[in-house]
Amino acid sequence: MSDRILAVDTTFGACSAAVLEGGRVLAHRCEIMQRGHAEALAPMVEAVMAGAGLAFADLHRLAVTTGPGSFTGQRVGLAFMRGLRVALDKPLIGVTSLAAMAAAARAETGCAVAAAVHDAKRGEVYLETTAGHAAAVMSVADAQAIVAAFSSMALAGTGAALMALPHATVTNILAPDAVWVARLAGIAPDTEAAPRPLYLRPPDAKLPAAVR
Amino acid sequence: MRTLTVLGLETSCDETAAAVVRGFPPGPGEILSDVVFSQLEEHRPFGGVVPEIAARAHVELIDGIVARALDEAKLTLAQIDAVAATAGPGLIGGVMVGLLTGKALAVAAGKPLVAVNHLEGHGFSARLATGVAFPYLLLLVSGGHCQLLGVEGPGRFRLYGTTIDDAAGEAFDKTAKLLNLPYPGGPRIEILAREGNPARYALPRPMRGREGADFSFSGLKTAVRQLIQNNAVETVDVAASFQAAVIDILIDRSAAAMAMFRRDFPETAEPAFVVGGGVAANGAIRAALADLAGQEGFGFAVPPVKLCTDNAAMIAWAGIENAALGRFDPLDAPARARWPLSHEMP
Ligand SMILES: Nc1ncnc2c1ncn2[C@@H]1O[C@H](COP(=O)(O)OP(=O)(O)OP(=O)(O)O)[C@@H](O)[C@H]1O
Ligand SMILES: [Mg+2]
Repeated sequence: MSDRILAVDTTFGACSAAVLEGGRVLAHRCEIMQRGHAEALAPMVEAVMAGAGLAFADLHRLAVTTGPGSFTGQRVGLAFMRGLRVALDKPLIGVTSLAAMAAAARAETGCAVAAAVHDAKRGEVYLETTAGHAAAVMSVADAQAIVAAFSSMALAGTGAALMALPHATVTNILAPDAVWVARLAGIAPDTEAAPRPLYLRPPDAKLPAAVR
Repeated sequence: MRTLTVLGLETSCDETAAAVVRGFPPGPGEILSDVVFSQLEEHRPFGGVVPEIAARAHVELIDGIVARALDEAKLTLAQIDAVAATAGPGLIGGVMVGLLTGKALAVAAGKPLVAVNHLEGHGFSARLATGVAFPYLLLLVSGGHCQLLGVEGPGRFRLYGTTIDDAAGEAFDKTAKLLNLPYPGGPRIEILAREGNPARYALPRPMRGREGADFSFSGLKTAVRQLIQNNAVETVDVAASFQAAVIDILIDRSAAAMAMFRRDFPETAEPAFVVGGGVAANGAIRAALADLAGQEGFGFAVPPVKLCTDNAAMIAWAGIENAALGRFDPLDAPARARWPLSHEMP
């Protein structure tokens, strides 16, 4: 477990990067931003590598959030980290944004179970729990039914307030942090293939009716 | 002789591409690898490029295509002098994917980054192919642009004329749609036009003879639509008549810009007329523009067909042009949906 991992996240309203060694944080940056991830990410990675005093060759693993998130944000992180993967020939581990948020919420609150719930608008949320509910898009009502089954739980995400759960401990975690992306990636098995974006919604594209 | 070896990435529209080029200005350069994946099948059902679908495909493909381009060039990243990635203009989701991939390669390998203007890619590809000297008169005819520019070097462009509505390639594509030709239509028109009579239908030549060197194609498109709606037309003759109209417009406007170029660069004894962009792949247009250049006392340079439509070799070459002047970009370089070559643009 003395693995050195570089992790980043750009899926939601923040941009973060972290370098961990055997679970210990060597360098970490996190900035709240709704836009500008494409500009901020590369300098931030350069800064955490310098802060950790490491060269890229010293890393064992790379980690990135695959989604869900803003489609553009998902691709900013994945394009960058898949580029690093090809350049460095190191394994790249994908972690869902919601898993990283839920893990952080559970650790922060000490609750046995946590859920990350992102307000996906149009009456829907993205939800994942640490109790085995994989990341999915669903109606607010369906999400409420899932979380209602737990007597106590920690909540993260912009959709936490929509859950109307009296026994929940609501955190102010609204986006993943690269530190937790690294921690989850640290306990994941190695993968040969590059992680792919996890889109919970199809592209907005209509088949043409007629030529304009 | 000094040379630079640059890896280029292109993701601004519907081709995912990477290439390695070696050389030094003014060129020609040596293309060590040139990998282009065209997302035609992904977009065909929609009759045009869907930005989100394009971006989704780029992020799945570009890293593998980069690896292949390096492989085919028999080089590692360590042997590259710089990484050049298209940073605009184009579909922003795709541009971001290529640019972020390029930034990662640059930072991992400790190499400088060039954030390339895709239009410099088109505009300099004749130098990659032939080594034509600056300054020259450029006709940029692509899917999104139709411009005449005096070109003195990277970042040094004077705008003589631009389209006030559709681009030339757009006119080809829209006419092809009106004719119910399968997507992408531009190249099909050229093939059909070979069989048709260009004098069969009278179509307008907007802006011809007008002062300046601006273009307009929307009136031509409207005329084609009305022609098709009101008559039982012969497709090959419409294609030939349309293409003949485009050629007349390009010739007239280019001739006007040649006079402007001569005024601006009187000391250039043998000025050159250079064409770039996807529409420059059209054989009839190439031939007509070569004739014009000959008549007007201009040299003529056009890249081979493969370098006219979107590709990454032209991006790598634009990277070489900029790198040779020490023009590099920081790691926070933005992706841009719009990025005019000349600041005099409307
Ligand atoms: N043989 C041809 N004849 C006419 N038009 C053609 C031919 N081949 C390609 N084109 C046109 O070229 C255009 C594609 O060119 P290109 O790839 O340079 O454009 P783009 O990258 O979409 O736009 P831009 O470069 O302005 O951002 C399309 O409009 C296509 O129809
Ligand atoms: Mg182009």
